[in-house]
Amino acid sequence: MNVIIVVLMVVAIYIAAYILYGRTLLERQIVKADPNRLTPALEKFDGIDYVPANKYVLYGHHFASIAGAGPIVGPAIAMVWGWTLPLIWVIFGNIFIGAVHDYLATMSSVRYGGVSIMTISENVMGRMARYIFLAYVWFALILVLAAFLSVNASLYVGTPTAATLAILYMVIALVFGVLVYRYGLSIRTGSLIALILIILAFIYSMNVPTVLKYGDWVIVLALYAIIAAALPVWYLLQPRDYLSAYILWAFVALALIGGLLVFGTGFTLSAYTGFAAPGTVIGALPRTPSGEALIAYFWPAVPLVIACGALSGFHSVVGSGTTSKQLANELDALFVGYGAMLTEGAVSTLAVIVPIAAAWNFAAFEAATGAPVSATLLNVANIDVSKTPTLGGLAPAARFAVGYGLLQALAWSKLFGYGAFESLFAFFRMFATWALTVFVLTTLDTANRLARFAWTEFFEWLRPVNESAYKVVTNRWLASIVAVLAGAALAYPQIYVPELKQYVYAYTVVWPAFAGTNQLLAALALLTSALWVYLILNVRGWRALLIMVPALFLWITVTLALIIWLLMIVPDLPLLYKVGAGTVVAVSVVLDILLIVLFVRALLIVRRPV
Amino acid sequence: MQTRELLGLIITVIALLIMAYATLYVGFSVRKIEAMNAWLYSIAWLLLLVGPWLWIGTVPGALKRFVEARTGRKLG
Repeated sequence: MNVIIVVLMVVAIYIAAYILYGRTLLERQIVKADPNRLTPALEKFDGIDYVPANKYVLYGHHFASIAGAGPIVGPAIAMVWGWTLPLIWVIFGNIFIGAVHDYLATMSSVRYGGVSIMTISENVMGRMARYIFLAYVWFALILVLAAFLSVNASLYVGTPTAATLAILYMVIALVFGVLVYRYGLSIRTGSLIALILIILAFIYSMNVPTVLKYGDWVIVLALYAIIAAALPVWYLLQPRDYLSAYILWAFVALALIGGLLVFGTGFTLSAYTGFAAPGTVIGALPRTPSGEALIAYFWPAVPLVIACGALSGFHSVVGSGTTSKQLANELDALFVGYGAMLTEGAVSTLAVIVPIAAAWNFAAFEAATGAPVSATLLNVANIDVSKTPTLGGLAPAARFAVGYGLLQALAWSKLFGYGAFESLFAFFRMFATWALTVFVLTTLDTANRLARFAWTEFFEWLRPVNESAYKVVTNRWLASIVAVLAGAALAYPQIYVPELKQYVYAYTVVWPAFAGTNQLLAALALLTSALWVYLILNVRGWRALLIMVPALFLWITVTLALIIWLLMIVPDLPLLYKVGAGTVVAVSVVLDILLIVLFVRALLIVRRPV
Repeated sequence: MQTRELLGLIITVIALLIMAYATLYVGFSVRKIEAMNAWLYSIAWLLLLVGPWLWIGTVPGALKRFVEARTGRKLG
């Protein structure tokens, strides 16, 4: 099959989904969004967290926060199943689960005054559900903070030019915000100035790396996360995310144009390699300590491998956390919640799956396209083609950057000639890495802001008991510091794993569990949203089932995957991983069952005749 | 000018000077920001997040007016 057919098909499906499922069904018939109803951003305006934002700004924020590394790394790993299964899962999961989950989490939060989906669960599943959910999410966010501190620090150590650019980009965003908000500069002029400065910063950064050690970056980034999460959203978050939206659109538009320009190019990766693939593993360890490759079945493992591109529990916390507190109009929620999630799916399909599948085998890619994919060219990207003949031999992030770089270089050499192929490859590989770091940095401070919200909502019980103690405990600086310190404590130190004969960062012994706990959160958040639609919005019939059935399907899939993980993967893990990740997954399964009991009870109560 | 604003102004100026030194002088002459310079650069970045906020960080008037117009409520 040709690249162009897949690209056009994906675009057509997403447009149809947005109009038919998103606007017609979700917005108009189920939620009945009302532009005249005041949103929490207006009703509870505080100038810090509750601040109305332009819908394009909020779209940029929601996307940049939910994107992180997820839509890139997951599909890149999943290519071992061939390219069709990951593509189908991303499209299906995106339209019927992920985007619905993001939209409903945002809208239910808007209708409950901007509180999180965890607190909303109290209204449909009882008080116990709320506190279990809040504690669970707070700990999950600590893990996210640890992982993103570590990923960010590693990215900056590996690509120090990206560190220079990330710092300059943040400063430009700040200047842009002050000029527009404070000095009344028009958004158009401000955007133009900012874009020129970003281009200059990009050129400058490609030549000037900022070099610090891993541990030093963890400290700097931890300080950044504390400060950025406590500052008012209009000051840093909104202007930065507005500018990030341009990067996102450039990123997706280039992927789209690239796909169209390489008309006639086929895929060098098989469409289907098998339902059970070796090397695809739920979690962080690619092999057992004895060196055997682990085998994963596409179902039920897929939601644990491909997260953000199709669906992710973290999104419900963003949607009902920072996004719902900045929504200026209920009608903006579809574009922001449903639209940003579809865009994330488009990133996974158009910018990750398609380029990787096209450029998978370097020799076949060169033979099919005539592009000069020489050993020297690949050496620039630290690839020894004699040892690594396909993208399959690279780490997921590198797999994406090289695949994206090769397809873009091929596309644009149709206009500039093959003489420019090498420079184009270097440019687009850097651009891909930079886009990744921008989104990762955004996720870092948003995760801390969300941890602060979860912390505050958890201590709500203290308010009527002792108001002044409540104020101290929920102080926004204190809440930010507590979460980041916990995250940094897991990201900074290294511990020795005897079975692997190597040192690993402390958080990695728990991280393999995150894929499961995060998707369990997605299932529970969607079940909560489904209950909200059924019990509170009073939607019945096929419309209610259209949300309830995917929610239950996801819950069954994730629960099964977690149980398989506990029974088949944990026994092979090193002791420290068994204790760390194994305990987290075991606790998750227990909570999972407890919450599903509360869910069924809620359904039975409402169905009982009065 | 209040103490908070003065402090913000001082922090902003110091951060900008360090940033200019690292970006323009070190960046163009050595082409690599490392060791102490990298620390200075990172600290200047963090100070730049805090400084302008202390200096001019009250809620923008346009934003207040927008909220007042939509809610019909006067903000303090």
